[in-house]
Amino acid sequence: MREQSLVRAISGFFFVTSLLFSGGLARASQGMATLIQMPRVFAMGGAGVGLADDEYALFLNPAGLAGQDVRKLRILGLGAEATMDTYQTLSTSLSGLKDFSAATLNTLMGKDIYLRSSIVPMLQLPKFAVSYFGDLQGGIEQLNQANPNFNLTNMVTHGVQAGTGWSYKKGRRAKDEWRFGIAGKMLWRRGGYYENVPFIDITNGGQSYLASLVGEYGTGFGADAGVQYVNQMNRKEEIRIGASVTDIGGVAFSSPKALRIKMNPSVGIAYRNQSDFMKMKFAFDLRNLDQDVSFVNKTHFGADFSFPLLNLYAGLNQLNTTFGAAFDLWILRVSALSYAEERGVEYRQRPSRRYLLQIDFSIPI
Amino acid sequence: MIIDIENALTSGNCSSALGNSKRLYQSRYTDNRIRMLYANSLACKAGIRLYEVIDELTSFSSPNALGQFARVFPSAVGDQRLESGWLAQDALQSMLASGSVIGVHDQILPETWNPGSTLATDRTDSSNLYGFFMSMSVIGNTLSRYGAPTPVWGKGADLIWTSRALVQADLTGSACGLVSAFFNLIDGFRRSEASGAFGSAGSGVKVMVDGLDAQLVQGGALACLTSGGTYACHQYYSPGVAPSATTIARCALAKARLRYRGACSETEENAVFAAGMISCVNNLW
Repeated sequence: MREQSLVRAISGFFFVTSLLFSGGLARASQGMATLIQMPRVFAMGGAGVGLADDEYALFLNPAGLAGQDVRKLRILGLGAEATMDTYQTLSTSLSGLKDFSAATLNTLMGKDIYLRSSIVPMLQLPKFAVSYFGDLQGGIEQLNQANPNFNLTNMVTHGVQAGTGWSYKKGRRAKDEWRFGIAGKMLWRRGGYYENVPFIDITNGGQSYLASLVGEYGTGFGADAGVQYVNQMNRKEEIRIGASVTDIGGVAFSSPKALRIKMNPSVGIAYRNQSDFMKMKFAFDLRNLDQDVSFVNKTHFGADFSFPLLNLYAGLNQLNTTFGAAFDLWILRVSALSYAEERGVEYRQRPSRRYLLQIDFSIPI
Repeated sequence: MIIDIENALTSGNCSSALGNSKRLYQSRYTDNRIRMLYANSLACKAGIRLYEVIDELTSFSSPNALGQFARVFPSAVGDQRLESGWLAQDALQSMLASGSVIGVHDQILPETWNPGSTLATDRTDSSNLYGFFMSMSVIGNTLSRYGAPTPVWGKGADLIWTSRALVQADLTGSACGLVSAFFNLIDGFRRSEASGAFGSAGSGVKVMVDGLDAQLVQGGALACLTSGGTYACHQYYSPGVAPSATTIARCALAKARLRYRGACSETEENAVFAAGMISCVNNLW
């Protein structure tokens, strides 16, 4: 009987996936474009909708909150992120400034300069979480030597998100469980991602042009919903299948220049195995299902090997390798990782390799 | 494919960019973005790196602007730089502003996927600005290729297309291409200056462009006519006689039409006007 439910759930996962693939919108560049930095998810190749077993369930799949039974206050979750080109370009640009001319700008050609920082304090209670977050992103990438133009990132987002989850299972000893969750958010945002900005506009307009591009802060409201099926196969193994839709219907802001957040329907499947000395978790997600990008760009696969005090992560984000580690020292948790995300529409068309360091201070309450 | 083209242009892989953009440009999927990418790919093929061109432009010495063009945009027969510049001009002239209505006399290549206009006012600001740079490239390539520049970038040999017959006999299209490039250079600057694209650098460039306008375009129609005597537009019709209103009107049409590099084969007065301008180029350089 239990096997039948599991088979039904897995079949349902693939059925829903095939349905979601039947539609498509205009082809457009799409990165992961997450609301906040999520170290474990990033290091696990962006997978986590099916797994959803940590605090980031609030942002990925609120159904995962139904399995949350901790009481914890994260006072600070401070993350900083940059691309490798950012550091390398800084050193070459400084030397180029000694003899500056317009052609010096060619040293920046094709360089992916990107910085991101966020802060995510969060209160976790059984089946409930609420978080304030602030996220700052800046970047510049110069393309086309024959007629230079810029892809610019200038975006500040902050807001409050709260979510809750509840579960249903047939009797206390049932091995399978259905979880449901919802989350609501209020956001303030200024700016966004800007593609193909002509160099002449920037050189002539300078800061006033950039200010007009970015505009003022706008307010937006959004909602997420998710479902998760958990099947406890035996004492050590567990299968999880999840589906979520974040930012249902998209989130538009009161300032028309603030970048709209697209709805993101996702499905995922995960396997957890607990042995005496470590836990293993494997997850596979298909995300941004309604975006008309290549199938590869929707795939996210990751693994988490959890030891006492140490977690090791690896994954494939849109088939780009990701890896990282996290150390737990009582109330302090330090995560360091590298991931790459695709900004084009095809596999490895315009990948961006990034490095992230995050420090969390959490206290049990 | 657009991202692939942009990537190729960023890394300087001109052949790849040109191959991909040409396929889109010559299809029903073409639009102004594709036209600009195609023009950029051709510019890449012509050896243009815009920042370097801007550096060169700011160091121009105005008395010998034509020599400077030849220096910055060298070309030899077979290197395809000049040909790339012509095709880029065609693409840029087809970047029409939203809502433009093109008169029959102003149309360029109307039977293609990328019909254009001879009027800069019909085109987008970005095409006029980029057209300014591409025109410089075509002028420099032509002068370098056919004017045998001296080591100090003076004229080494006269351009040969100084009569209607020689212009019309020019099967390479270089004569008419040169004349149309001068017109598009001037148009591109005037439109871009009006939109503020040149900023503070505009005054220096304006001196150069005004000089070319006065000495070549207006000269092509008037000065070369009276001083040179033989090859300017209305003298072709009535040697030694004051031009009639009809002749003046036909010359005005020729002047407007010569923005299109294929115009010299359309009417005789177009070719005569072009020959007059090329005579002035020989005098000026």
